[in-house]
Amino acid sequence: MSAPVAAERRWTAMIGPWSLTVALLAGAWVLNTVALPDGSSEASFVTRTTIGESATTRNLELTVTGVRAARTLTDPQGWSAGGEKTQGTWLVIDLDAAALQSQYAASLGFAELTIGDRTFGATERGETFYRQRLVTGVPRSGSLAFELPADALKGTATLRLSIPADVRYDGIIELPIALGDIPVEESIVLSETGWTRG
Amino acid sequence: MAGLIPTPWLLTAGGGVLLAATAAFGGLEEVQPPPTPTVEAGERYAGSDLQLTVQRVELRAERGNADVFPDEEKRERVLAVIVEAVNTFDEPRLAMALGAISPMVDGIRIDGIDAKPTVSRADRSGGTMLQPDVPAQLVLAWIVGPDDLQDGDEVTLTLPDSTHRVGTNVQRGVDFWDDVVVGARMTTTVHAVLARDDGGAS
Repeated sequence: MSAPVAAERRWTAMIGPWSLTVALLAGAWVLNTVALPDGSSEASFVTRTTIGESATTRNLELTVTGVRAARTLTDPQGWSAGGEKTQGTWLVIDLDAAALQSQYAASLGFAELTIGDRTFGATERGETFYRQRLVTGVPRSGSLAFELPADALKGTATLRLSIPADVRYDGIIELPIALGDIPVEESIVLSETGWTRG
Repeated sequence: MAGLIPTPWLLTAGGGVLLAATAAFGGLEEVQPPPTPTVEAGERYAGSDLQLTVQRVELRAERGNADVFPDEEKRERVLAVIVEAVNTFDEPRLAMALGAISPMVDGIRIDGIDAKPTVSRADRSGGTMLQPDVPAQLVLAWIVGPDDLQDGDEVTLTLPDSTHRVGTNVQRGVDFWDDVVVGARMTTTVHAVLARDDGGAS
């Protein structure tokens, strides 16, 4: 008579530990799913835009007005690079940019182009808009240039722009660029960085 | 039965075999490190995620495109190494590094000169940020005394190699190149380019 009672008691005694185990495993799974990837705490705040659309982040407002590509690049001062000697390609980004709140330390200090696995920085060679001063509320126009290997103009690139050179914890403006659609010109002369007209 | 197995003898024999094998492979003698490879002028060398092609070593009376300023009154000369550098890493890297021992382009040294070279672009444009897979013409320059080197002298260059690592904790995600070693040696001839008429030209 006593055997079935003992079995029942054993069965009820197991509900507690088993449900606790299931609850803990489910909790761990949820935590693991919800947790952001490593390094997310220092990730940038991204504002996405497209060519021709104005975008703002923190102290920066800018509009990318055009994208061009050429084998040879010449800056307003007459410096020139590219051509047959380096077999390279230049991607030129024309943009209007202004500071929003403060002119202090406001310059285009971060410009990166990611194509596939490779990331390129805006060239510091020649005279471009890179690291040039921005003025509060009054847009200036200029061009950034990226020196790329000859085979790089394929697929879609991501352009990231911001004011500080180190963009961790800071805002960046990001836009996609379809590289296949850009005609490669023989030569481009960069326009001088100056006030936006029109 | 157990007493019939000569355990001590077996152990001694095993030890003997171990010692003999060690002796056969050179005993406790230090292993010779593999010899440093040598490259020729104009030959491409790969190391530190860079491709370096040293093209020419020049002894100049004037600085030309080099970023150093020799004292004319002391008749100082410029020793210039013309290098094509390609960054084969997938992010831009500066051709120069902080610290006395550099894994980058300024880690190229000439035997007998301890100082780090000054690195500049051959066309004098901008800085020396090396974009991925984009070749850059660079000039490495040292100031040397008027009698330190002559036209036709042989010099030996060392090219750097290192190991890529990614930082952790506060350095998280930061790429750096560590454990700098001499990756290759190169012996070449100094070409004198004495543009200024200072009596030194023959």
